[in-house]
Amino acid sequence: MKKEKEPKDGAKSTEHMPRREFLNKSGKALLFTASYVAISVLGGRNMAHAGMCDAGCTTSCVDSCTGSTTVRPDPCSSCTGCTSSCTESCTKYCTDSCTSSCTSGCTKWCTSGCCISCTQSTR
Amino acid sequence: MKDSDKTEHRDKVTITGNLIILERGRDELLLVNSIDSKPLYIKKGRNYIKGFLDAVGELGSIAKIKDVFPGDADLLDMLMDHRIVITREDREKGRDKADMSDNRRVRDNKNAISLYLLLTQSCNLGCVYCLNGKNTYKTDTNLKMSEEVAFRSIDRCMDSLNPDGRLEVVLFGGEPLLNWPLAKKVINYCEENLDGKFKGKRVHYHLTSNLTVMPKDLIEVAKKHNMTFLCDLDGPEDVHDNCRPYKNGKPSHARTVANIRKLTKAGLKVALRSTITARNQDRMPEIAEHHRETGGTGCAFVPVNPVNSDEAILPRNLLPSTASVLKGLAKVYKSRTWETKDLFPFNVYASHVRNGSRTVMGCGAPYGNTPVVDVNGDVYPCIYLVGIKRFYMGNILDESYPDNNILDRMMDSLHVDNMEECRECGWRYICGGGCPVGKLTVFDNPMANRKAVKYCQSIRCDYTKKVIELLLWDLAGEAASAVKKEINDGIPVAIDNTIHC
Repeated sequence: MKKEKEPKDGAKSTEHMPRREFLNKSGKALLFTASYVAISVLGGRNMAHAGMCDAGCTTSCVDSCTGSTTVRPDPCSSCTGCTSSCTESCTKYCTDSCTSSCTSGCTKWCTSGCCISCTQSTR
Repeated sequence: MKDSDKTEHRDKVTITGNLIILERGRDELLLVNSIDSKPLYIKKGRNYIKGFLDAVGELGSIAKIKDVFPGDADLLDMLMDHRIVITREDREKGRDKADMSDNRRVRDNKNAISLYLLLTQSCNLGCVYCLNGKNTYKTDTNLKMSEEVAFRSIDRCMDSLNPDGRLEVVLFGGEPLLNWPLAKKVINYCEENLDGKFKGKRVHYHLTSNLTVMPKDLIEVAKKHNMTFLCDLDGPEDVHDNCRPYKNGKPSHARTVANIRKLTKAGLKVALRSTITARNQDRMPEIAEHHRETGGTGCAFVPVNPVNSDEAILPRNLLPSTASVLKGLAKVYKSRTWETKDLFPFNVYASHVRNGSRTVMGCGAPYGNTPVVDVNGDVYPCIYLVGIKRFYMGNILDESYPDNNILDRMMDSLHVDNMEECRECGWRYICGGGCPVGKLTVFDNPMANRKAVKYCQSIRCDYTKKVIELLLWDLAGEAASAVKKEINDGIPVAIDNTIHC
């Protein structure tokens, strides 16, 4: 029998919220059964301006050096290849090819608030 | 393709070709598709998940998987959300690999350049691992850069930057403070033109120095222009003096430390770096503490490069054991003597493991973003490649620079999908292939012994993986703690129709 826990006062129950939608909103998710506990690690760290390379540089070196080689997906406006799971469940923006509403309105990175499965970019 | 065919096509699934699988303890598992880094942490149930993934690979279709595992539809979704399981369509359309076509476009879109000016190629120290070769750096002669070369270098880099781009002027050598008057002229030249021909662009000044030299007005100038510093401090006195003596063999630690303290006391930022050799490989935690005590604002550990710019190989007995380096690195990281953001190489790789990131090359040199100008105006893509003819990019004073053919060759040969040793590796889009200097200067070097080649391979691969592994487990721990806290606080975190938060 699954353990149930009532939400504390003020906490909105998310029992029926699609998991992907929740992931999009919070970047966190937990899935557990008797067999496993799976946790999304979608936080990451932002340290893009805090490095030095072994050549002896600092600050903007990371931008000009590793910054140029480490690319992040373009915003959803450039997303051209959502996956099937995205298509099935993402009601926000993405279809197989992004819609006009995605193109004109979405300014977020695909991984932080648009469609969680939408990872393809033109870069 | 008909709609029904399309649906059927999308039903077919497979495991990503870029999978990092880490195991820890009795039951933990961490899965990452390196192409966009959305790790999935299995806190419990490693064998179940591994078995499930095996089944996914064998069954190959969503419908079949759901038939065989009717209670695990959400797990399959979760694995697909994290790109651990992908559709065959994604794979066939190349979405599980990096797009290589845009590299040259990225190269031409310059938001930032780090320009290395070798103000002088002379140095007062005689470090045991000096990268400046006698022939290529002409270390026997007192070569200094001219104003013309320095100013022209600034002009040309500013010209190639985007309108709001940023130039980092790295005052480098030899020992750049041996030509401090030119350093000041360079700064003045930039400042005088920031409202004129460089308008809209930004500039930052950085000095990489052994800090045994302390011009009287260094602090004043540095404070005025927010200059940052990097200084090599290889360890406590006995270690440092063993590795970085003056040319006459006398110790340099006391003076270097005294000058670091003067700068930090004045509020200036001095990052400290230790080159790891066999002489200090077992003292890394102590070195991290020493950097902290000395007042450093950052701490870097860099395994010694086994080749100098003459492509001569360092003595075997200087090369550290990779196992010792990895052990020391892990100890330093776990000690929390330094925050991750101030600890190299962790701070750099932390940006690689950010969600959605992908890295296809180990550094920015193939993009031409780190030009090094020697005293004569000759330009090379990296400080380790100065003087090596096959990497000569032209002279800053004439139209021979930039010879982008050099960069094209580097870009093609160093892309992780083109390197034989990397192209099948699941880690490649996070590690980017590591520092390529060894590949460029050691692997085919007739002077290189087997130990040097093996060391280079291991530093590129094992060292980089270790750093990434430590970071990923840390992120997993943070995610687990955050979830636990939110559950305790009554904030919903788990969205599955079977779970009530």
